[in-house]
Amino acid sequence: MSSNIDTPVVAAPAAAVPASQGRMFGTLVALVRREFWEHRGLWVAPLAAAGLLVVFALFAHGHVAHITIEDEDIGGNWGMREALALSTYMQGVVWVVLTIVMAFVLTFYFVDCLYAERKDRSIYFWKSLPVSDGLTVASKIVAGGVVVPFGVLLLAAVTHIVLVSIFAAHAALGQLPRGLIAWNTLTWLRVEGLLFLGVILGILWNLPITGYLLLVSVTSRRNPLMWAMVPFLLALLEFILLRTTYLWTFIHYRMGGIWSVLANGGNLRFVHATQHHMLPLDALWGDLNFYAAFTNLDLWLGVVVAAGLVYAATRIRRFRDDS
Amino acid sequence: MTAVIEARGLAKSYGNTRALEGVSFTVEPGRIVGLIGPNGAGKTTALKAILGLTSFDGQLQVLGRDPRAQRDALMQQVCFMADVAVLPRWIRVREALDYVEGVHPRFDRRIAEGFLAKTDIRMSSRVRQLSKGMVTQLHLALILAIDARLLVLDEPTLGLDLLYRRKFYDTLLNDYYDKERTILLTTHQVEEVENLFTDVIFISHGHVTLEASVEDLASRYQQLTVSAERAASARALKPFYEREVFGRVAMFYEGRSAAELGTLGELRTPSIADLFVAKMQGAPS
Repeated sequence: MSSNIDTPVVAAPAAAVPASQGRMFGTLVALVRREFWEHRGLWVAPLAAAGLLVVFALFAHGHVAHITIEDEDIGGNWGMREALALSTYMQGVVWVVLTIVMAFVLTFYFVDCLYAERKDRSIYFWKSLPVSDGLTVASKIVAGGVVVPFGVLLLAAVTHIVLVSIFAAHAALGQLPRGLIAWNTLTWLRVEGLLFLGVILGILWNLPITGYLLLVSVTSRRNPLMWAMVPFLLALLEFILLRTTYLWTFIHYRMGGIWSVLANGGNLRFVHATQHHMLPLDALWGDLNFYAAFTNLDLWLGVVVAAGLVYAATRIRRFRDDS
Repeated sequence: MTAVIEARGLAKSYGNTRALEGVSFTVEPGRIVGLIGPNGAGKTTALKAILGLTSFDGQLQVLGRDPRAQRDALMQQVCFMADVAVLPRWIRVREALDYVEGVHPRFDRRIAEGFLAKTDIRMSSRVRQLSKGMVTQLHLALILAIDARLLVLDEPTLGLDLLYRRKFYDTLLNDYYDKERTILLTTHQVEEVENLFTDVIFISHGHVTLEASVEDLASRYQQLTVSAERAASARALKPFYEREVFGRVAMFYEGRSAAELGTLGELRTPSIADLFVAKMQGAPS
């Protein structure tokens, strides 16, 4: 590295490469921002869902207090571990709720993102600027496949902290039993770590669906959402005509199959243990098989298929001529 | 100087319809070229080929690049505005500036803001809240701020009232055009912009029927207006088109001298619009 100082002639072309990379990154940032301007549901819907959870927490304490105080368990057996477990369950539930909302929003987003620009004819405006079709399609995947899932993870973490604070305040005011909920930063971090890996796994596993939706979006002349549902219709047709469910089994597997791999087919010690006493969610670290999930052949086959679908969508956007 | 656009044998078919059949033309730098033709003549297809928006056969170089293979690099030097290339209705004026600034290395935001300050357009407005004339002004503001070498305009003022149209072309000529820049323009309102052109290309049924600079037109084409009784002797000089106007006859000639025609009647250079009609209606040369 020190040779750069002695020989500036060598340093010049080396500096030129990051400059063009920096420009490409700047373009990608502008493109991703654009997605959130156009598709406001991407951030409005998760925020609204998180807001609703907070509102429920603020006003539902009467019911919670009623249920928990009536429950006999809380008197004798409700210790630190249970209080901590309840906090981690909330942590997980908040994330799951926001993720379900996100799944709907992203489905609509991916189906619409390459269709809307043709419908409102703004595609010629976008194409009048020096942005490649590859970078354009990449920006949709970055927005919907990276920024939103990790944004939702962050939003879920913040929402959970707010909820715990509200419950703690209720407890301090005597509206909820003292010691109902507890906080442990290490436990919290361990659960966030689980969710973080889960988000990465979910993104990778769902890439072929993302690619399929993008391809539908770029090819549909009208009603892309209907075309996106074609696999379900075919599965129904198969069942009606042949009384078999091969396609449905495949669709079902492609939608959630990896979670079964992660959870060892549902055979979790955690589940057995919670029948006797509550365990904080981070106990799943010993149970979940991330190694098996991330080395799953179908996961990476899906990624390869997704690459093909995204490439096809890019080529079609490049050469499609709707005249 | 190398040509800005060099087209040789451009061909394109949509199914059985042949939009372009062996079109060749050259556009030199610093010119304002009118691409003129009736609907369905192949104008838009030719522009799409130039912009790399469609596949085609034949040879085409734009600023020394192949628009099929090097579209992304090309678009740093080429600006495009069309009646069909509408700004998205959801975008805010400020967002449009942010976006173009983010993706275009040759965009100067101050120029766009300076131009918009002279209009009634507010930065916080969405495109859907603007009138069609204002949307065109916004698009023009973006284009003025991009330091491009070739500007392609496809019916840019369609559906605008006269005032907006006049302002549009005045701005283009005064604030944008210079000897380094080339403008390629199609429009139906030829009469309105014909004194803007330095060159014209007539295109009809997928063929180029005329390619000339405006100076060349003056020496190549003559329009002679004669009274009805002189029509026969004027017709003897073989006009390629004639048209009756208020009892007199306008005859259109190619390659006749003023000495031959001047004695018969009133002689002048045909307007581009008249010449276009004459070439379209007249017998194929």
